[in-house]
This record gives sequence, structure tokens and C-alpha cells, in this order.
Amino acid sequence: MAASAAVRSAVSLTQRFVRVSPDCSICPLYRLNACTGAIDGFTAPNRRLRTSIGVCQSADSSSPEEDERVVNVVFIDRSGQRIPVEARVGDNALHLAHKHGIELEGACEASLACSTCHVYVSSKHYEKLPEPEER
Amino acid sequence: LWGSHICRVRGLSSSSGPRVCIVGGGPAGFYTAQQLLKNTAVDIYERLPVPFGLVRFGVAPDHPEVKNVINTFTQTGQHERCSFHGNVNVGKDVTIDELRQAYHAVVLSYGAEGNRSMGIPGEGLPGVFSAKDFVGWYNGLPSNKELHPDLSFETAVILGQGNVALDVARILLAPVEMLKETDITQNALEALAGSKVRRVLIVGRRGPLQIACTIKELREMVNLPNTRADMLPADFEGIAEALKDLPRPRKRLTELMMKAVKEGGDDKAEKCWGFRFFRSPVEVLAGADGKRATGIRLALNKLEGSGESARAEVTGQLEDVDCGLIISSIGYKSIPIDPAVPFDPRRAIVPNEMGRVQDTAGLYCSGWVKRGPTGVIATTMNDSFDTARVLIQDMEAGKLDLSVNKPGAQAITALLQTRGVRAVLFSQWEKINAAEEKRGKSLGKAREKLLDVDEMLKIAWS
Repeated sequence: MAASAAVRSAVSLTQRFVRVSPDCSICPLYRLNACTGAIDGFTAPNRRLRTSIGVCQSADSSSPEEDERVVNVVFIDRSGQRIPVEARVGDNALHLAHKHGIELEGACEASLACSTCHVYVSSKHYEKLPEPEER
Repeated sequence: LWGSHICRVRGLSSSSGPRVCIVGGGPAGFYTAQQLLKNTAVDIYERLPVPFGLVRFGVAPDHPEVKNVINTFTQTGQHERCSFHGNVNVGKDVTIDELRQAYHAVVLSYGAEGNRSMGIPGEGLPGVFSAKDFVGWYNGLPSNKELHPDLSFETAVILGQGNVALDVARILLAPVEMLKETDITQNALEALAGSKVRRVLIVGRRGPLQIACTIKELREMVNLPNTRADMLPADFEGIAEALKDLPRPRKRLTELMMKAVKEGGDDKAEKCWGFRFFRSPVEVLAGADGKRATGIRLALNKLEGSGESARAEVTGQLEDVDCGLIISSIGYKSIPIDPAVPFDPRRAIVPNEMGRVQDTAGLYCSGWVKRGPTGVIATTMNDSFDTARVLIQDMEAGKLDLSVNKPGAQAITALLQTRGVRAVLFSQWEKINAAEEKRGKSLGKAREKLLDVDEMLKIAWS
């Protein structure tokens, strides 16, 4: 995919709002298996549990149209661990992170009201974006 | 990372595991609890029967999305290892020392319930309010329910230009249609529906480049229906030239302001609002009978230096503005909770090093009482996570003696009982919550808040 198209797709990840999952999936306690109260039961987040909710994540799409819509995203968590995930054009970046058990706070639940979740775009890519709108 | 911590920490204590309590059930308290719950049991003590602090009483009624964070806090409140105790006044019903005896660690997250005063003559006259009280009034804070602000005057002057000042201006000028389905209190809604306020001036000591509000709130003022912007072009001399060197957030904010100056808005608009820069309040003026505020005397300043650190210096010039409603929005202020806790009266915070209270092992702080009363939800969230991390580090480093068994809430509840104090549990708050939503529904609103503590308790314990 051309770099500018990739950037546009990346931008649309943050701008499109997609209702993906029930409320409890945004709770770090639930996602990290903490709400069961099982003190001895801590495990690393099991990403396989999340793929069935919401957006379809077929990894074996073969048609060119399907490939055009796929965006490969790598999340790097606080410890430096790299978590590669597959997303689609139009996906919401916050929900994508939560779907894969990545701890990312979104106080207003992706309403664009609070700034707890936000994106830094490298200046090289920022130059390619259209002017922000005051709305 | 954190996965193995709980096992290690548990091994150190005898049987019941580590116990931590948090004083204050607002955003700082809940965010700190959220992180601590991974490693320890957490009890939250809150003075009111209802949780959530400024998310409930501070965030403007027309910003309901910001309040979505309540869903996250509710998960925390319902967590098996978390226990909320509302209606408990720490410092009066129970002391900090008693909490420190019952828990391995205590976190102070009680925020800033006082306000900075202007320190000028006439500040106590009828017609003058702190923004904290005005916001508390329209948001249903029980202690502000009898505020009865007189809204029969044409001009209101707000001192301060932060987001709280803009919230107040917006609520004063917003069409009632915009507010009537929100969770604004019914008495405030009715008062605003009958309000004669048509002009709101928002006054700041320094210039446009030092304004403290953020762009979202400015945008909302610019887009207010049936209002126009009334600014003084003289206040903006030299600003256009300075734009290119500004960091992007400041640049965008300033550009939006310049646009508002230039375009002004619909001349036919019934209402207007405007910033007034380089002005400090020096006296509240009373009418001939001296009984209430009828105006405010402002001193004109000039700016020394530039950017965020620019200072306002007096010029000696004065200006009087006629107005019947004066709202001082110059900052909240923390107050000391207990003589056993160190307090810095100059900065009005609990002195601390990265959240560890000075000279007091086992005592921590997070939120506004730790850093001072500025910042949005994101700031408080990050700060609370920092304190939680530090506390957990101390647990693992052996700085807190977890080998001693601590009784936690069991001991505190028993103590409170001997003093005739009964707590409101999280599930009991949920009864209050349901009652408010039900009352709201019949009025076509998101909720109708209960204004009376006794009423809240009656429903909680029914």
C-alpha cells in the first residue's frame, strides 16, 4: 500500500467510531482477569479470547479488496513488548487496543471528549495529512 | 510485569493480604484504586453518600461524555476486593492515625474543596460567588443547594479564564433547550430559564497568549447559538505577529480566538460574551445602599516578559464595570484534613515526594491534593497511576511492613459504629443512582440529582 494511503488509513483508525464490544471489555480489571477476584490467577492477557467480539478479523482474506482494507498495527506496551495486530480501515484505534488486551485508558469511552487517549503522529506523516478542522 | 506481584506480596503477609485505604472517592481516588487493586485490597472512604467527586459535581451538565469515566469507576467500585464507604468524614468521624493503624497504607485523594479568594474589598457582598459554589449549585452539590444566585442583572463578570470560567459563561448563556435534557438540577434550570443575564465578560490578568482555557471550551463559546463575541481589538495588538512562533496547541487556540475577534458573530444576537485581558479585580463596588454588588473595579495591567511565564504589572489605571453578578474563578484550594498530616499552607497541598507524604511512612497522596488544583481527567489519571506505582514499589521493596496483619474496614466500621456513623456501601449508592435516574426520566432528563444528604441516606439504607 502506498505510504500516503497507509497514513490515510491510519488516520481513519483514530477518527472512525465503531461500537465494538460491551462495556466490560474496556475495563482493565476484566481484560486482565482481575475482576474474578482470583488472587493467584494472574496471567498475561490472552489475546485469543478477544478476536470473536465485534470486527471480523479473518487473517486468511485472499481477495485484493480485502487486502486493501487490512492495516497492520504494532502496539508497543510500557515494558517494550511488541504486540502486532491486524486491523481494518475504519477501525477505532482505542477499541482495537482493548480488543487485544492492551491497557489503554479511554475515560470518555471514545467520545472525543477527554484526551486520555491520544495519538502522536510523526512530523513526516503529519505533513501528509489534510488540515485539521475546527468543528 | 505486574502479574507476579500479587503472589509475592501475599507471601509476605500472614493471612488476609495487604490492605490499603483511600481517602476521597473522586477521580483520583478511583483511578488510584484501579491500579492498586491488582496487588491489594482497597477501601475508599468518601464524605458524601455518593461517589465520583468532581466528575459528578464539577464536569458541566452539557459535557455528559466526559462523565462516561463513571463506567470505569463503577467497575472499580464493584470489584470484589474494593469496598466503598460513603458518608464517612475522615478527619471528623475517624482520624488519619486510626486509618493508618487499620491499614498497611493510606492514600490521600481528597482534592480541593476550598477556593482561592480574590482578597479584595466587597468580596463578601451579595452577588459575588466563587465559581466552585456556582458550579456546585447547578451540579447539585448538597452544600450549595441554597445558593439562590440572583440572575436578574444584564451583565455578569467572571474573573479567571480557565475552563471552569468558560463552563460558567456557557451555562449562563446557553439556550435552555441545550440544558433541559441534561443532569443539571431542576432548580438551576428554572433559574436559568428566567435569567436576565445577557452579557458575560471573562476577565484575565494577562494577555491572550496566557489564557488558561483549552480549545474545546473556547470553540463551544464561539459556537453558542444566539450569541456574539464582544472583544476589544486593542487587547490583541501584536498577537497576529506572534502566532508563527507558538507551539501548535497554543497556536490553534490563539487562531480560534483571533477568528472570533474578527468575525464577531451575528449582530442580531441577543446575548454576547467576551474576554477582557490585562485586568485584575481590585474592589467590588456596592450600590448606594451598600447592600449588594453593582459593579467591579478593575486595574489595568501591562505584561512583562512573554509566553507562559509572562507577568502582569500594574499601570495605575482603573476601569469600572457595571454588573450584578460576579463570579470568581481563580482556582480551587485544598485544605488540611487532619493535624497528623503535614500540609503546606503556601501551596495548599500535602507536601510529598512523588506521592509519598513527607516524613510519614505509609501515607501517600494523589490528585489535586498532591499536585495542586489544575488539570483535566487525563492529568489526574496519570498522576494517580504514578502514586499507585510508587506505593506498590514500596510494598515490594519492604518499605511497608506487610508481615503485620491489618484489620482494615472491619476495625474502622466497628469504630464508626461506636460514634453513630454508618457508611453507605457501593451497592447502596446504586440505589441512590437508580432513584436519580428514575426521577430524571419523569422530567425528560438524564437524571435528577438528590440535593439533600438525608434523602440520599434514606434511599441508600432503605
